Amino acid sequence: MRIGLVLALPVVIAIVGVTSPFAPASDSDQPSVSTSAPVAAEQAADTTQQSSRRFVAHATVLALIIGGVLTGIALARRGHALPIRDIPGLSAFDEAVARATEMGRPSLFTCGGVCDIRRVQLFASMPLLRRVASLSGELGNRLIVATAYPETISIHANTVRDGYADAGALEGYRSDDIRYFPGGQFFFAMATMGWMLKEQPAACFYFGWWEADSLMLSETGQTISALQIAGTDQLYQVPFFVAACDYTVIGEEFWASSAKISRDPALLGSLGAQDIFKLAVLGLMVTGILLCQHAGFARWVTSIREIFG
Amino acid sequence: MRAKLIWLAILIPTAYFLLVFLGEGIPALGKGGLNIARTELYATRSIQIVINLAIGLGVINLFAHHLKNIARHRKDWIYSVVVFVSFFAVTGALIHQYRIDAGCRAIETAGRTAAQRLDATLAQHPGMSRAQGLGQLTAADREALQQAEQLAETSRHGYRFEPGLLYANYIRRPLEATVMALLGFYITYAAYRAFRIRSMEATVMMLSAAIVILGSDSFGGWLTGGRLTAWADFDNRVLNSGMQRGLAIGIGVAIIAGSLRMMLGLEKGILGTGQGEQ
Repeated sequence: MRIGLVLALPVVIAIVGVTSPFAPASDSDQPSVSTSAPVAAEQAADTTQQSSRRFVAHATVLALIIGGVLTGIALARRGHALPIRDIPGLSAFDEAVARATEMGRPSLFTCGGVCDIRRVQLFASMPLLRRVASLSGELGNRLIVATAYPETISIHANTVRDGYADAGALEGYRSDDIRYFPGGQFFFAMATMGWMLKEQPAACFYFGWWEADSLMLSETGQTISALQIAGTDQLYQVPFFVAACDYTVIGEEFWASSAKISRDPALLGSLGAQDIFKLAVLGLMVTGILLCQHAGFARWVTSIREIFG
Repeated sequence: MRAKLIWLAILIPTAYFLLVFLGEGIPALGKGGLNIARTELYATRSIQIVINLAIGLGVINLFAHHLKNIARHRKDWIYSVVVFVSFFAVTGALIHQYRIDAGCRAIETAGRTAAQRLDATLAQHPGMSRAQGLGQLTAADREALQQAEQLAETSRHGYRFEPGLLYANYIRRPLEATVMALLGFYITYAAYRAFRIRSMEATVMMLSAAIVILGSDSFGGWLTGGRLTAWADFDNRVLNSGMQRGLAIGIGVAIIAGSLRMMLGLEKGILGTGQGEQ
């Protein structure tokens, strides 16, 4: 039913879009002042043909990916999920929280000063936060969470509460430990650094969408001798995390992390489908390179590339 | 029920913006042309309305929470007083700035109108000097022109107290610049730690960094007859780009898959199970 709704909704919105009396007039309704009528008509026809080809190409690729992901999820639900190799950064979660508990210091989890609600990376980090909260509940450790956006507070709070509930230690959950530091990336970084120096967390987890604040927080973690685990798909921030953290979950591993930790069939299935797509892309690249050795095929490959813009 | 409502709230806008993204080519498919991509302007405007309503609600909540703190003398209630002082100081400054801006705009508009009248008068009477033209204008127009010229002069060379700019240029920006400057020290320290040769990986990274740094510098090129520059270029254009593009393909597909899971309501973690809610 949900899939039917997802497929039907764009069609309904499209119909509303066509019939909408509020929709502004088309650009083509405007009279052209600089181009003669036949040339303008020819240009318009070319543009229309090009854009309709592009639409078909984009929609086909998107449909293939969506179909593949849905098939992967269906297969995973029937127990046919692909195995995931060990990721050292994730295996160290237990060690990090246990160490913090032994030292009598809290653990810190944050998604960074620019990870707002529009970032898919925020949602991909939540199973990891839940795991840290669950471990903290299990071991009786305190978990502190810093967030930079008001709309993400309840997401963090729900996740932490669920994590503590998973461990049967709901009494360990304290809403005051989820702090909101507003004012933008650098103000968030400064406030969190101050909080870290005050609370002295012994385990720091940095997951999500990161920018320049990555190094600020991880270097502060270094100065307080915290065991640090980071993960982001922001390739420019990965070197900073590698330099400052004990474990770094790099690029795609970040997307596999939530599936590995939660063992949710939806995540495991889509992860398998992603790997198959990457193999398909690799195959296409190799085929394209081989075809380009022949002039006739090269023109054909170039025209396909132009369709995709 | 709550989960379903949240799911619908995610599904409808996501489906809409997906269609807008694909909508570039849609007009060619429909007879009259689909206007879905053109309705985006209205969608973004309606988002602004929701944002403004949310800000209003936020202010009410903020006041209610901190007033309670002060009234009941809760722990650290003095910080609630700081919240009110900051709120009214910044709001007052912004209102004052708005009034200044509105006054300047009015003077500029009146000055432009008076200048147009002066130009029209000079055009009607060729040979008339500017001073004579000014004499033909009304006293109000002359005053408007004078005020506009004074304003332009002050903007160029003078100083005018503007609280909004004071906050932006002399408080916030220096603070941000200071934090950015700190980043330089952090990078140096992290680089020092990363480049200590302790393992095979650290050695490879050190060598790669040496090649790129020296190769990008004219000294390195001169020292090795341009060979190091070519190696640095190969490192950047082939090895580094290849790795980044490979990762980017995987990340792109993963983002599509993640977004799809959210659209289908399969990303349950964010909604919470509702356990322990008060």
